[in-house]
Amino acid sequence: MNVLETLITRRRFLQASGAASALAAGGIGLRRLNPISESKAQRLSSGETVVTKNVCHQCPARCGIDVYTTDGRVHGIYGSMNSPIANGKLCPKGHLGTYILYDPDRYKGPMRRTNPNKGRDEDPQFEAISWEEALDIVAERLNGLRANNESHRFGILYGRGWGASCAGLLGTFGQLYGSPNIAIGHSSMCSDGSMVAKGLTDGNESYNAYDYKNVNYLLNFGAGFLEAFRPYNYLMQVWGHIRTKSPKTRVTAIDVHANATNAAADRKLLIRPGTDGAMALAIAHVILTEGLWDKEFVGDFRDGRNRFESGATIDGDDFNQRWVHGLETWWNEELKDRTPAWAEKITSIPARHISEVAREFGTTRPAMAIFERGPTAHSNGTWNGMAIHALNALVGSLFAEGGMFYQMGPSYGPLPVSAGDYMDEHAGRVQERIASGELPRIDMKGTNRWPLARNMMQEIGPNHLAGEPYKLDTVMFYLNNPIWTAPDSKVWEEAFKDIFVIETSPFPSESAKYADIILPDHTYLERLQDAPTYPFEGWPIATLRTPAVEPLYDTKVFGDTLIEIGKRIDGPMGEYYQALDNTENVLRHLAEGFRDDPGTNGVNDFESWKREGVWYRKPYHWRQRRGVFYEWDGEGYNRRMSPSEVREKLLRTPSGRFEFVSGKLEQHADYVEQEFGIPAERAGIIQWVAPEHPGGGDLYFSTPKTAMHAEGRGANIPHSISLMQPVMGGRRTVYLEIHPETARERGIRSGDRVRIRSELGEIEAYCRYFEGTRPDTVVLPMEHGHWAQGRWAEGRKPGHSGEITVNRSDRISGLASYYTTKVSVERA
Amino acid sequence: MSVTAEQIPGGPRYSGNTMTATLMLAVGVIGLVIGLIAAWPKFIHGGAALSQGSDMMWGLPVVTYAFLALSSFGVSMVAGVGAVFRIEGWDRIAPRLFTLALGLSIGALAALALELGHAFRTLWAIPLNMQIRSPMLWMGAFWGAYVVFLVWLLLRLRQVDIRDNTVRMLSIAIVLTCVGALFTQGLVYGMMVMRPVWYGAATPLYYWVGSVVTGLGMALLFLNITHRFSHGGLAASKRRVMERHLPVIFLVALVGYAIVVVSRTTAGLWSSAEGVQIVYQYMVASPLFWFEILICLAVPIVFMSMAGLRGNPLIQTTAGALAIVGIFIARYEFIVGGQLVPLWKGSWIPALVEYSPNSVEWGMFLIGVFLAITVYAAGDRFFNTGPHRGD
Amino acid sequence: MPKWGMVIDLDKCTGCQACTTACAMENNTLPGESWQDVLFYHEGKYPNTSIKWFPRPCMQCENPSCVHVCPTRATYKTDDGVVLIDWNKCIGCKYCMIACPYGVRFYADERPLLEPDIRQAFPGSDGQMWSPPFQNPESDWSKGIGIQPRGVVSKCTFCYHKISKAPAGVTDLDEDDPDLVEYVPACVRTCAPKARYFGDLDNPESKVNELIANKRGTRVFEHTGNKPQVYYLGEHGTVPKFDPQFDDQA
Repeated sequence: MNVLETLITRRRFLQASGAASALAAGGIGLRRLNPISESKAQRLSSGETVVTKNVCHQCPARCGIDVYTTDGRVHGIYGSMNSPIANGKLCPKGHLGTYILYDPDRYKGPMRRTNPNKGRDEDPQFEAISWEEALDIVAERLNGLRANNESHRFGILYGRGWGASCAGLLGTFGQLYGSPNIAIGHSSMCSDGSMVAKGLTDGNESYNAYDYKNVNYLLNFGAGFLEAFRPYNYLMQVWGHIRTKSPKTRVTAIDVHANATNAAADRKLLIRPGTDGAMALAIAHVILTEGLWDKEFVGDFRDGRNRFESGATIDGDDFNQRWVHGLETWWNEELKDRTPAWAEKITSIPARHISEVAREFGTTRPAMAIFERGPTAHSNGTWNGMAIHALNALVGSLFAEGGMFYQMGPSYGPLPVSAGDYMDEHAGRVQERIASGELPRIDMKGTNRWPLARNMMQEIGPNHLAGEPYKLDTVMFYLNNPIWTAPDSKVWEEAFKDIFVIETSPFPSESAKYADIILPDHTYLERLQDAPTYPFEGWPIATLRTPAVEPLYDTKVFGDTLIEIGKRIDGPMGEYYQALDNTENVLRHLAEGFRDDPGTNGVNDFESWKREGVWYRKPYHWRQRRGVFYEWDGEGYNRRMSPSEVREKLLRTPSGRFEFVSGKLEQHADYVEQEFGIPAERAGIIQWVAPEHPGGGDLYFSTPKTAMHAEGRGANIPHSISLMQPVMGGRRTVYLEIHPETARERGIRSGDRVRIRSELGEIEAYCRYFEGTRPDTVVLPMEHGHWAQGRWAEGRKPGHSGEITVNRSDRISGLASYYTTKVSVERA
Repeated sequence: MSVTAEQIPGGPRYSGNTMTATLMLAVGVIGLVIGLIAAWPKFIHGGAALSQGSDMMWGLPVVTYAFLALSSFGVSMVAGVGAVFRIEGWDRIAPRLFTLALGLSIGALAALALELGHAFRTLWAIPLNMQIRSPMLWMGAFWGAYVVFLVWLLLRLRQVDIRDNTVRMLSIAIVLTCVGALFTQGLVYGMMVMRPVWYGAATPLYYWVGSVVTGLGMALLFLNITHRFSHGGLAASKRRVMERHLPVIFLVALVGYAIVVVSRTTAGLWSSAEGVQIVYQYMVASPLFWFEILICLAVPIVFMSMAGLRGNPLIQTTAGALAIVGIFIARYEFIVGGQLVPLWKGSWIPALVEYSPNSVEWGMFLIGVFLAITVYAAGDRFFNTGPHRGD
Repeated sequence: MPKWGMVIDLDKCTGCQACTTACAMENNTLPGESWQDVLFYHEGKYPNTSIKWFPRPCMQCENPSCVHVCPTRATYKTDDGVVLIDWNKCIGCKYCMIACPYGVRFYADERPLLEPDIRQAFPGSDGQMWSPPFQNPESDWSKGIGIQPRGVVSKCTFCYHKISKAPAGVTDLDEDDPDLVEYVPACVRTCAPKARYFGDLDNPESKVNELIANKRGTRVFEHTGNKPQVYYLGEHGTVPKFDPQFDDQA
């Protein structure tokens, strides 16, 4: 048949044309011959494909995913259409989840260390043991500490805690066991700056939930909206919507280098690192002097005449403040002199740009000013954050449509047992010692050293090394790897040599290299685990992971590991955990709460929760509209709220309003004066504080995250590495971005290997020229340069930025100032 | 099994010195073995052993096969002139040159077979599917026919003299098919509008001119080696060919080629069209290019233009060898140069593609070259292309 | 039969590479074998630099130069407009890769982009170059679907194993429609800002044609005459000239 067709077409060809036209590029259309081989599609497996619900693990967003499994092998992950966060979409990290499940370097079961020496180059020489043995070893150690009245020397450090069935169990464990160090979260190495700034001004120490879909102006200070801001997948969905809706949302993005976020925006401004607060204050100044503030939310001069003039004070009595507090003090003591011209000198952004942005921001409603680590990972981070957040108050976007608010938690049912009933004498005594301040946390959070911080994880290594306040004996890590990720991480490498380390990661992390016991967790596709949403649109969401496959190896989900350890602790604590039984039991009890509060998607019990993978209940309960606060009454935002209700539920400050002069900060005026040299009477005012940059170098060192990176779970995934840094073309390594002139002055060519040095030491990287980087700044994406973690993660340049990042934290929020070290760069 | 003329009743008698051929054979075999050792990873790991790949698709392995094939065509053209037109003396060197041409083609085919993902599929997949829009198909068709005619002619020469009529017909066929193969090989590159360094109707002509130079260079090189660097023992007509005709035509070909090179380089450096100027600038900035122009092109031109030198066998050998190296470099620069500008890779490849051949690819090159030498050295006896009494 | 085409809205695309990894997952390609990729460029001088990016699937050209040069017809164009490769016939000459102006074809039988070679971690069986446990069960060598053997060229198939099962007569494969989502190509399905559309270019009333008309869709590298079936919308549809900006490349 085919031969005949060949002959026919050839004959037709010979008849129809001369040879020339056949060879010409646009020649005659010859009828295509069918390929010889069979065109039937084959499947490699005759099994059916099953789709199960799970939640992606690569960042905190909690995108629901559909997991495709055939013959017991997971081969596909897509965003789940019934997840209100994912909506059927995913970010680049989500699809690579199968590599995490099948990572060839995963641990296959519990192990014990046999090499007593610990260090970067020491092989732990693990030997496989059973779960019984492993848990008994741990329990014996913990019971021993408790018997010796040293239970506080056991700490649990966690990173990505997901929900009530894992990290949520830790607080009770600490309470029953008797340690202030269970658990210590990583938030001080994450983004506490923004949380604390918001807490000091609007009373909510939390990330915001946002109504992006209705915003018309987005002023973005340093948040990687199209890179690593969360929830990333959702932000991109929102982006597609706001950039094509009517009216199109205008975006101004401010950062220290050009990236996808500010390239896609309408306006990009490259700011001197750590000076965002100055720009925000100048914008506030223009908003006030030009009368652009939201009169209904903020209030107005009683006679309607705008008396805000540069350099001139106002009389506070002339102004009727509605939902703000301290405006007159703020203006008179600080803002009246913070002009765009002043800000230009500090930020290097031309004054006219600042004024233009201020006018756009002030005349477009609704408008939001968002920020995250960029402005706050500096010594003046909280001050920067407060100044930026104040802009939201000025334009009335708090709790408004197209504005920002806070996240409601899920309607979980109670656990079968209550911790309070199982406290023994020891536990009670420890609680007293903690409350009285006699027994501080190992990270010194809440003490005179860090009175306003939420956590101070980065201090644990140095504190233990110095023995202040005491030395730890045993540490358990959950989804946390600070031996590598902490700033000045070499201190941790030294500090943890004499600590008994329990690592629960299933991967050969740096912490695992220091571990004495490995209690490997399931990877997420093997877990049954809850994960209430990261702040999203305000209405509560509780997502659920259900296993796609039986566990590949002899692993145990962390929640169960913790419960099993708890069962083995002597005394009533053991009984508590016997009653708790396991995480599935915990989840069943949590899900009971849905019966009384069924989800908008119909989920009202454990079985329906597993089937859908998510429970959520719309809408958010509160809204501010034209200066009035309303609560949801079942049909609409109809019930007016009284000022005391607003103070109790929404603006949780001492005054019940947004505070331009922070009452909470004023309570720590002595501390503020001591740490910043600010006179006590000015302590609470949102003001400009100049950043201090340690490190000893001449170039600012910024270490952002790329879209493929987020929480670094792609470190051992070759596909992830091959797409890690698209703007610079980083596909085998991650390049240091350096301005061409800056490089040439140092005799560095594009592509050269360079040494980046701070007072802590040096690392090496390959660099590439980038005109989009400020000449006074170099940029190296963070968290690369593993010395463990697997065969693809290891042995790859660059060195880890954390090794040369000075451990200097914001004195108010405690946020580790990852972006503030100054380095020098030379050709290697 | 080798056949000597003594064993053919009534046939021409073989009278050549076998020592040179034996030495050449030894060199060929040793080189082949070295090549096989260097190229061994290719047999184990497949394409992963090579330096070329998705960023540089046609690297040294393809340059190798292209160069050897085009050399084969060039040598056949030189031989064909003598055999077709029965020019006294020139026809006497033709048999050896045909053997050389076959050796070069076999070397090229071996190199190609190693480079292709599935070489032996070509035997059924091309004829049964007939994508006649593809210049590569035509190139393969012409080349295949050429090799068939070449083998046929050489087998026939074991029994008859070069002046045999069938041999002459076959010589015509060989010349026609090798020119066809040459031009279609040029079209493989010249029809690619998306590769501006290659694109153009003149590319086949550029290939042809280069082939003529290579053919003449190879003729001078191999014949002089086989004659042990002396024209003394040659018959008068043959000597005239070696001392006058070949070198003069070689000079003309070199000059013609030089003109082509200069005009291509000038146009390339001048043209600001995307992907052209930058390649030529890169090429001209490289010492390899200047070696090619000055040593491998200018020196042979100088040698061949001096009447006193052009007949000297050692000068001829040198000039021939240099020209061959120069054309090889030019082929490399052409093929690799046409792919240096990454086609739509953005920041992943922000500058020219970085490619340099690795030892495995050089091994494949050695296999091709030394296979050619081996076939040529064995051909004297097997194909009876050696000198015959009365030559 | 539909003539499948794709529309990519550059004003909405956020350059995240989810399309790239969705494709890598769906088709089990190797690192660097980016059948779908997003290409980034940056131009200008500080502080006024710009960054552009282009999602780049196979253009599935109307006049595919790759099909025209393939000596064995291993690469061919289907009746519904998709250019595929038959791995049973491909000889690995790579001429199609030379002839493709868009750089969308890959010869994965090469040095790995990253060491160690992931093919060593999951050695191949049944003739495949590698056989990972997370391999998609869909396989059809006559269409270049699945994991390829050594020595052949591979490229984007418009997820032919999905679209070829779409119900007849559907003009646009919209991932937001639960009845159609399983037929949508991976890159289109996952795009969070919904910057990608897939539909029948032969139907004048399809959504893809509507978008091309309303937003003045363009094609890339028109001068080659290949006539891609992938259109770009948005304000920066021109690929910057190849211009290695920095002479001092190490």
